[in-house]
Amino acid sequence: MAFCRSVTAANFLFVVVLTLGPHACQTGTKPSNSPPSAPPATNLVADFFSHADRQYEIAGQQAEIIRALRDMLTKSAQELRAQRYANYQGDKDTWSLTDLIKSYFVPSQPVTDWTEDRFYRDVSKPEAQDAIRKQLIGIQKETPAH
Amino acid sequence: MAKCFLHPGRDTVITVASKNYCQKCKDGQQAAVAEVTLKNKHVEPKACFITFKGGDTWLPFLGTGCAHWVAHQLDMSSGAPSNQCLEGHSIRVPDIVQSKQKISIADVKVSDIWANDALTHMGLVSKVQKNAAADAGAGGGADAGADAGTNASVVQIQITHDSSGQGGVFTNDFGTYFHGQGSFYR
Repeated sequence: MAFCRSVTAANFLFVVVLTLGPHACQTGTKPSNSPPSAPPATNLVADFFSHADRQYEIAGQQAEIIRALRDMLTKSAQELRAQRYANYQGDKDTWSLTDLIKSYFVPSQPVTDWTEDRFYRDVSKPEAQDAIRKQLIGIQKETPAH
Repeated sequence: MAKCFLHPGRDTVITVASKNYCQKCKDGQQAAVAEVTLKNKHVEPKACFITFKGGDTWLPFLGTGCAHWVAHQLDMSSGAPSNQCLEGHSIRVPDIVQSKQKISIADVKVSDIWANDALTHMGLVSKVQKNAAADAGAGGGADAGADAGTNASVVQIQITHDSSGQGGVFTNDFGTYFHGQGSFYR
């Protein structure tokens, strides 16, 4: 009887695994040790650029924003950390990349948990690159105020 | 005793725009304003260009101050509360123009809003000069200002704006400095 019970229990577990397995495949989830209720991590850069308007005034500022957006599409995080950009008045090599972004982009919703490490970790990921590319396409169509 | 708007367990030490704040909020606000003064010198007014980030943290707003200056001049508070300064005024160009109607250049008067076509910058009309001959029947002069007749031909418009490029509030010519580009709103 004990043997029969253990066989039945093993069969039950096998059925449970078969039943749950396809769902994991359908949702594209990978085996993970993280708790199932943990929310997916959002990409800071993608989230920011998807909800931010550009505010700038002159052609020189526009050119510098375009240079920064292009750099984010082509340079590594290490290279981006070392890049410097002109400030509002055109003084060269004054601002870091994140200084420039914070100076010209106005988010339409609050930005939470912005850290430099998180920014440079997320900037090269596909979803961030898509959002950066959309900003680049948009600003290239614009005429600055002055 | 009144309590802090953001931290109900703490006593109020300061009131801004009818909202009470505690000592830690006051300290955080002062630190954020100091950062605005240091890094964003063009912004006017500076004392309210800050936002609450949670806990005891206050930070300067991101972006330029052009819309914020216009909102203060016109006492405008459109847009989401998270996009309003400490005194409750808008900080984004789209939030300001969305509640306004476009007007033709012939109708422009002092205190109308100007924004460039891309809505990346804005200011206020501070002077309108109309063609004296065309305006003669409307009772205005060469420098007719806010009371100019609307049928007169406009020969010069000046825009006062919070300019990040020039580092403060400046007045520039619509036709030359701004290349006659953009729209007017009222």
